[in-house]
Amino acid sequence: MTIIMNKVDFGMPKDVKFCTKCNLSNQRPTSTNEFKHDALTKQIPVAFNKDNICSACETVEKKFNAKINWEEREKELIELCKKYKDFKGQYNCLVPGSGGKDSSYQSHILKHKYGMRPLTVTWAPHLYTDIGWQNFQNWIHKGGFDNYLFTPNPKIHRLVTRNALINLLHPFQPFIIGQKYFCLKIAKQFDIPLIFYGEHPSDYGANLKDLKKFGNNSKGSHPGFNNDPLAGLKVGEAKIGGKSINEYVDEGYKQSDFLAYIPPTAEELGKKNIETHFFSYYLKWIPQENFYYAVKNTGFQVNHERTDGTYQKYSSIDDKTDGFFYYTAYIKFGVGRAMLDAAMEIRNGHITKEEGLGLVKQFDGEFPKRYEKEFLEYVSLSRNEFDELCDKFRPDHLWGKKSNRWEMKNVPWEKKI
Amino acid sequence: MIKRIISRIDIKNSYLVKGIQLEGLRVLGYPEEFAKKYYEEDIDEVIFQDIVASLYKRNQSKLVAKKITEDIFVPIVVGGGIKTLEDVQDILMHGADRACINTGAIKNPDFIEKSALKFGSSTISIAIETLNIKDHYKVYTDSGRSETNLNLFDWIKKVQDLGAGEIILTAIANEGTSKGFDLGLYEKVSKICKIPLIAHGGAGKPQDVLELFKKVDINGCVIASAFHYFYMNRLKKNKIVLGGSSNFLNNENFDQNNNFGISELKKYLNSNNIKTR
Amino acid sequence: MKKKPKVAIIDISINNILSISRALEFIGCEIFVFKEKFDVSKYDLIILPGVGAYSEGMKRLKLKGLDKSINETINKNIPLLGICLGMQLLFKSSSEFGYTKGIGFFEDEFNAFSENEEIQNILIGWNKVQFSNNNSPLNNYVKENDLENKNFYFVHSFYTDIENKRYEYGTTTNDSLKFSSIVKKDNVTAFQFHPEKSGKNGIKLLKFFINNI
Repeated sequence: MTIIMNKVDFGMPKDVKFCTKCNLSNQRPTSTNEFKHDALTKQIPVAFNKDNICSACETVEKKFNAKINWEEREKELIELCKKYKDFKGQYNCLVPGSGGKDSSYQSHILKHKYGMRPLTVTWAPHLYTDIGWQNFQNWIHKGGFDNYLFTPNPKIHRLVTRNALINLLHPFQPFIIGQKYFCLKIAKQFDIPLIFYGEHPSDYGANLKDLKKFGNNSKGSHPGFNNDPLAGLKVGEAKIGGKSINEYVDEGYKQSDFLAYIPPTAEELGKKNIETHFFSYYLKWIPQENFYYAVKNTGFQVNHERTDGTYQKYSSIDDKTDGFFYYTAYIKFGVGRAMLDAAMEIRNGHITKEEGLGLVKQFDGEFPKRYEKEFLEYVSLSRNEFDELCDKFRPDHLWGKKSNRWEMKNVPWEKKI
Repeated sequence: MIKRIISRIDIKNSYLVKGIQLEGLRVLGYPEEFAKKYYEEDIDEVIFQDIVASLYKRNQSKLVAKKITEDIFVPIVVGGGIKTLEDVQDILMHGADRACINTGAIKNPDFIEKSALKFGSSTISIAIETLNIKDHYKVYTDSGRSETNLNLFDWIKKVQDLGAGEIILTAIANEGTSKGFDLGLYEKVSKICKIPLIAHGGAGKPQDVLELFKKVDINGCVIASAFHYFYMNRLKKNKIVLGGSSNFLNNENFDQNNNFGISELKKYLNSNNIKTR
Repeated sequence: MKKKPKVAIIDISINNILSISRALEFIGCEIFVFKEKFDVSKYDLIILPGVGAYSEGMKRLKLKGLDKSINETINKNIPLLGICLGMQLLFKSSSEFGYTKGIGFFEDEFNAFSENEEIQNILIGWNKVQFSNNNSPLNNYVKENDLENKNFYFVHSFYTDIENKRYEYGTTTNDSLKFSSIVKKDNVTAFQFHPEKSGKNGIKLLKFFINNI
């Protein structure tokens, strides 16, 4: 263990509040620049307005309140696609994804309705679930796509994941880095001028002002969505798993072992004129409708039962380590999977606030038993070691002990103490 | 034997919703409008299912039953969160002919026996949701969300011994997909089921239903998506504003699942020697 | 303005009478529900519905004096319609849970399907009713209203096959076993099936009873 936390502080507000519309806690962090992320990093929480409504609710509400002219937005998409129709390269756009409902929908509709030539790019999950692999295969077989599947050196991936877990209690960080930045490398390598992300980060609370695109000198940035992904760092200074590459080199590794995680610089991207757009700007993005579309068009199947920590079967089901990502976030921020899923469904009108509350109460923070063995083996920790590690990351203002059991000091279904 | 053609209407908060593989809450309209239409089109029976009851740990079944069963003069089955004798009594008193029980029965199998004794076997339908995982048919509760460790075939035998009147068996993988019925499943189950057995999940074309009745010794089938998507276009268009849930409904170009109507199905079946009413 | 027919429904409270009430209201009747002995002469039609155990049904009829109301109805020649268990209660007896005596207006007995190994124990579902071609008003109504060879909804485990075919107005078959599905003697008619659950045809058939009121 490299760092021992006695009094953790992730920079979240000490006064815990819950969004009056979607129950989301104000402790929910928005994205951060992972290459700068270490044990002392303070994160930016989701913003709440004076009526205690979170910014994600404000953003998503605009989608449905008839103020956006969706026909116009679609026209913009058609124009954009027209602009790249005669692009000389084999692929005129890149869609990162895994064969989940969102990437299946996005890639399929771009190809079959808007006539684009996408290369789908997949950064492999840490540990594929059966359903995840099946959906990935169905996506490319039934949807009909060229796909580039990249598996980062599993030995190194395990190393950085273990470090991320121990230093940051953030075992998913290496995946996030790859998922976010790997497609930039491929776009650069294959000379693909256009990348489509799906959901805009402001849909879940990030304060990214430009809703259409980022990078390539678009206006505004938010940590994790910087125009320059390395944000000025030299390669050796970039941190993965809370430790800089230089530190790994000191331990006997080579810099080249970590290059899979290092994105192109802003300059390199600028030279290639690569633009990254958000699909949700152009077409009304409704995750559940993406699911229906994916079942119909790319053979997407739901998980056979609800995932640990939540009630749904259709989202984020391809990595055995998923459950621990959400569980560790629950430890650090008091925000578990059920809270996030319910918040999204409330914003999109599928369930009511009260129903969401009931689901959060029932499922949030449930220990991910199903793949416990595989995960602990993967990070080489015993269950006791893992629990002890988690306890070091519980912020004082969130957690207290009652009859020797950890309990959250504030929960959305009870009035504040 | 006359085969029963049954429609199932999933309800959440007084809207008709339709998912796929027991997931998703897409709103398609008002349940009472669909029920009335199905009755006019000579449906044999209607199941009204509150699909979030067990998951949300609440029971609105009796509200469902009373409000929307007026002027529907065919057998009505109501399900969703039914777990006590009072629940069964309530829905029977509010217009249902049969209670449809799943999670409640699995959590407390004695409940089947007690209900059958008090209300009669013919008022108790046991719903079972199953999925084939690596050649084992597993059994689920809470709207296909929680896996139990029951063996499907053992459970089916037990349910019969406890006095159930009939079994409605849903193949989760086929449900809402329009890809046809899981014939292998029903073939196996029909051999051990001595009480009426009803298939549910996957009807996409009239031929799917014909194939089911020709190949399997079964009493009827439940059809949801195929009828809902067909009749959606034939009902008055309601303006329902529910954000993402009503997006599909409000979209002019209905991206249609495979669908067909009740009389079309019955004509097709009867002309192929399968009798319906 | 035509007066609404007054229909009394006997409620022995083992199951709901909501469906039959709604069906009768739908065809224009005014419904009155009775859980105990009442003055039958005020009504144009009396309904004895029911689903459930025979012995329980008889017990409740006797307990609340409703068996007396039924006998009064029969004696005063007021139209009486028995449905399902209601039909069975009008007969001599049933072998369900041992031997129980019924009202006895019809002389035959009810027996269990389960005694016959070759057929289903419970008949749940739609079955054809073969109306007896006997030139009765009921039969003429059936012919005029296209109700011949139609299916009606049955749910029962006991049946009767009456001796005196003069009173048999309709038959139905469960697998190979033929039984009486409609009987009529004087002012008393009984259906083994549920007209209030038999769709539009059931409603049409119910209308027969209020046509001449």
